[in-house]
Order: sequence, then C-alpha cells, then structure tokens
Amino acid sequence: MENKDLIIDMKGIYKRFYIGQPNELEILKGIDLQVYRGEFVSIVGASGSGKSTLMNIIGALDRPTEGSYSLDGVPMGEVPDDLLSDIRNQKIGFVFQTFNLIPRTSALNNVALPMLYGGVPRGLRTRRAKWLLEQVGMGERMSHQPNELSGGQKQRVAIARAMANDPAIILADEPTGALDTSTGRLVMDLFHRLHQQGKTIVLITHNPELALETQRVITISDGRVIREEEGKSLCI
Amino acid sequence: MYLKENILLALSGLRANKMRALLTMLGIIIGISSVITITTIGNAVSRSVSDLFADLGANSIQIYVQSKPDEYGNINWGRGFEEEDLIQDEMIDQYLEMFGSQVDCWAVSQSVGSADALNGNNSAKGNVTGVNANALGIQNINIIAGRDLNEQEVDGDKWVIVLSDRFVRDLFPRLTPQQAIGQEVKLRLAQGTYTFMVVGVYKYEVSGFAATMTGDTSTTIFIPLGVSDTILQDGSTDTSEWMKGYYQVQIRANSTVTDSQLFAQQTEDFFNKRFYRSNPYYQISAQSMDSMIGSMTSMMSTIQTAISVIAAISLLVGGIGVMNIMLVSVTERTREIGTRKALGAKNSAIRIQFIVESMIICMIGGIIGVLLGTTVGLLGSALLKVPGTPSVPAILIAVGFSMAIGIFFGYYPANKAAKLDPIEALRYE
Repeated sequence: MENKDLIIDMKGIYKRFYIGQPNELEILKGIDLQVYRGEFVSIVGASGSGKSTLMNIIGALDRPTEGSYSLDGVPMGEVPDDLLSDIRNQKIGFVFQTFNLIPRTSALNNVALPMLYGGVPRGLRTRRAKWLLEQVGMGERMSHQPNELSGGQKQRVAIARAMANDPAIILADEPTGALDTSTGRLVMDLFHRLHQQGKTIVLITHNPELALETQRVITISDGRVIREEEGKSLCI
Repeated sequence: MYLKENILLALSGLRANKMRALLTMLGIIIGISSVITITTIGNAVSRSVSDLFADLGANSIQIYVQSKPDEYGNINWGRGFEEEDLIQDEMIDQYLEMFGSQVDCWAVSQSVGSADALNGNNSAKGNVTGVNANALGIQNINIIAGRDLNEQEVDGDKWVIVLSDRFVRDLFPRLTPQQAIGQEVKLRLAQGTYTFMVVGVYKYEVSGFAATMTGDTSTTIFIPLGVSDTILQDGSTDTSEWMKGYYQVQIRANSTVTDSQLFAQQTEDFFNKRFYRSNPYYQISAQSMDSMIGSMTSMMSTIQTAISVIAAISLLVGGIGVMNIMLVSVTERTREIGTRKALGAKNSAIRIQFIVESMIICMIGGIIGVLLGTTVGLLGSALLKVPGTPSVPAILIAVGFSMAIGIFFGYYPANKAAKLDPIEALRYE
C-alpha cells in the first residue's frame, strides 16, 4: 500500500556514468531514501560524495540508472523529457546557491515564470506572484530587476519563485552558500517559517551546523547513505 | 502561449545590447534597404516611362536611320551621314500616299541651335527647332493659347513661332499668353538675328525624367520647317554643310491600326525596299511604342534582378550573422536556459523563445531597412525627377521575408538551446 504522506520514496538508486566504457563511474551505489510530507530534511556530504547527483535525481533533472523513485506518488521510471519538465514545474521548487534569477526580468516576472510554464492565466499569475513576494518580504521591490537586488533579496525572490506552483517539495541546494552569515540566517529563518506552514523541504548543504537545524540529517559518503540522525529541529 | 512574454524578453535583451543588436541587424538592414530602394526607384522610373509612352500614344511609331550591318552582322562604320542617307520629304510623301489612311499625324524636327529670344530689354534662352505642321500634338505639347503651326506656314516662308508660357512671362511680363499672340519676338541665333510673330503658346512642363529622355521641350522654341531650312542654309559653310532631310520621323497611327508592331514592320519594310535597298551603309528602323516599352521594361527588370541577387546575398550573409549571434547568445545564457528548464520549461518553450528573439532581431532589421530604403529610394527618385512611391507589397514582403530569415537562421541556435542538458546548463560557468 502506498503511503500518501511519502513524498520522496527512493529504493536502491544507482547512478553510473560512461556505462560500458573503461572509465565507467558509479556515483550512487544503492541509495534508499524516504521523505515524508511536512518534513524538513537535510542531505550533507563532502564534495564528490554523490550528493549533487542525488539532488539532480530528486529534482527530476536526471534519471537513475537503476532503482525506483517516486515523487509525491508519481513513479519516475522511463518518463519522457516533457513529462519530466512537467514534474519539475508542478512538484519541485528549486532554490539554488547562485539564485539563478532570470536576468533583465523583474522580480515579479521571475516569480511568475514557473506559473507561465505551467499554463496559469496571466491575471492569476500576477496576483499570486505579488502575494508570494509579499510573503517573503519583497513586496516593495516587485518591479526591480535582479541586478538591482542584493544577494539576500535575490534569494528571497528565488524562494518565492520556488513556491510559485505550490510544489510538493522545496529543493534547496546550498541556499546560503553565497550569502554572508546574517543574510544566510534570514534565509534559513524563511525556510523554517515555510516548514512551519507545512512545506516539505530538502536542504542540500555541506554545512553541518545548518544541517543540524533540520529535523533529520542524512549523510552521504561515496554514493551511500552512511548516517541518518535527528537534527536539533530548531524551531523558532 | 508565451508569445507576448517572449517578445518582451527579446526586446529587453536587445535593449541591453544595443550596439551588438545593431551590428547583427546590419546585413539584414543593407539587404532589405537595397531591395526597397531599387523597387521604389524602379517603380517610379517604369511608371514615368510608361506614362511618357502612354502620352506619346501606344500607337506611336519612331522611324529612324540606322547603320546597316554588314553580311556578317557587324555594325558598318563605313562613313558618317550624307544627305542621301537621311529621310527626305519625298520619301514621307510617298509613304503617306501608301499608308496615309492609317496615319493620324506625323512629326519631323530639325534642330537649329540655341538662341536668345529678345523683346526690348527682356530676354530668355531656348533651343530653336523646326517642325512640320501639326507636329506638336504628337510630341505631347499642350497648346494653351493661339494654335499649332499650320501647313501654309510650314511650307512657305512665314516667320512665325510657338513658344512656352515661360517665355511669355520672361519676354512679356505684363501680358497673358492670350495677349502674347501676335507679338513680335527677335531670335538671336549663331546664323543671325531674325524677327518672328507669336502664333501659339504651349504649357511649360516641369522638367522631368520624360523630358530628359525626349529632349526637354520646356525651353524649346518651335518654328516652321521651311524657315529652319532657310536659317540653316544661311549658316551653311564649306566645312559644315547643311544636309536636308531628317534623322527620324515620328508617326502616330490612327485607330484602324490594331497591331502597331506589325504596322511598324510594314513601315520599315516600305522605306528599306523602296529607298535604302542600294544604300550600303544605312537603313531604316521603325519601332512601335509597344516594343519600346517592352525593351525598357525588360531593361528595368534586368537591373532589378541584378540588385535583387545582390540583396539576396546580403540577406544570406546577414542571416548567417544573426545565426552566429544567436549561437553566442545561447552560450552566454546557458545558465538561464538551465534555470528555465529546472523551473519546468519544456524544450519547445526554449526553442520558441530563441526563435522569437531571432525573428524580432530580423524584423526590426527589416523595418529599419524598409525605412532606410524608402528614404534613399525617395531621394533617388527626387534626383531623377520622377515621383517616387514606395511599393507597399514590396515593404510587406521585405518585412515578412526578414522574419522568415529570422526563423530559418534562428532555428539551429534555438534547437541547440532547447536540447541543452539542464544539469550541464545549470553547472555552466
């Protein structure tokens, strides 16, 4: 029976590159991972541990070589590219280390973009984008372009954008990596607030202190989950 | 579905890189503007040529003396004109005897030279030409006061004159054209000074392309042929002996002639068989306006084709330039493309985005080209003194074609962008 509260369900995930070639590389070596609705989970690991590859598979940017993965009840087998696009659009909200806002496009239109790709009508798109920007405290800077915003402001816009289609999970890859400590703190507080509102968040980081703020810390090393521990579940 | 967003995005991208966008468009601008320039001027010229020929009448026939090619088809440069080579009055008489029922009117002219027209202290310059009776109608000269020269004046020794309303204004500042009829005018020519009486005034036409083709009639003073013969004989010397006869005759067929080309052929055959058979150097050629319009049109279309080929090459090069810049743009924006894909953009959405961008670049280039080409075309037409009108279909085709270039040359870069691996694209530095 399928657990409705299981958002990420990974069983025996392998990922190999250069298959059949002499330099064949096995990055993920049988990952089992379950994330439940409303959880705030962090994945930590050193460079080269396979954590980025795992994130790409979770984020439907890549397919596993072997193993089964279903996201919010949708099995991610041999799905075509366009369906992967739809899954990314509807189920996942990405937050990147380098913000990745679309240049020369206002904060409002950046937030509206996932809804544009999701086919949301213009009026609704704009209304929701405004509301989301207000939620992250960027209501005053909606028409600003990315180059007119500070790092912290950019990341807040990016988080609003990640929320645009009300995704099943927010996948944040080192969201504070490019920010100074205090700004990073503000961004983390924002994630905690979203978590309290019931969002499922997966945080990928190599910063153990940040990881410990989450409910569960999953440590990856050499393509395997080597440790799962409870975080301090820092609630504000 | 993303059309408006894509257009706005493309425009903001162009604004951010104005110089680059302009340089990218340059090939398209040059190509489109040369096409528009040449069609604007070409249309103006063709129309004014056909207007001119229509004025002269499609059933006009030009008869002129031409070098006879030798047996190998080469032009015979044997000798210059002598009197026996020219068309003489008797030839025209015999021709009219034969074909008179089909001829409406005919005109010959004889250039006398430039003259100063004088009336007291007033003077004006003009060219004096001897003409036969009722010849002015065929040359599209519009008499506004008085009348054309008549038979008696032309055959006899009547010193009468037809001049333009310009002359009347210069010579008789206080008189209307009607009042100028009957006035005396002195013409000072190289051969001497002669006194004439004004019998007709014609409307001055602004010098235009038509006038440069046929000889500007605006400053021409018409006198009877008999009088011009007399003046020319006066001026004849041993070294430059005046020759009687005409280099060309213009004929207007009447409505009984349905095929003017055939009539021209019959005319040509008549003159050649009867008068020029034994002339080893010269023959007669007769051409109808129809065939002249035809050769003029084919000349124009040859020029247009040549320019169009150049324009096509320019558009091709311009298109390749656009493709090059689009490839650069795709590379520069790899991360943006990765982000868009992560946010759920399908490959088709990315492809459309870049095709729209390339199309917008080319369309703006096309529009600039149309504006530039229209301006240059109108200036060129003004220089040629023909009324230039930009061709609306040509403009629409030009803009449409430039958009098509945008789609064609934008497809490959757009497809490259669409096929980027999102992981690689996101990681791109």
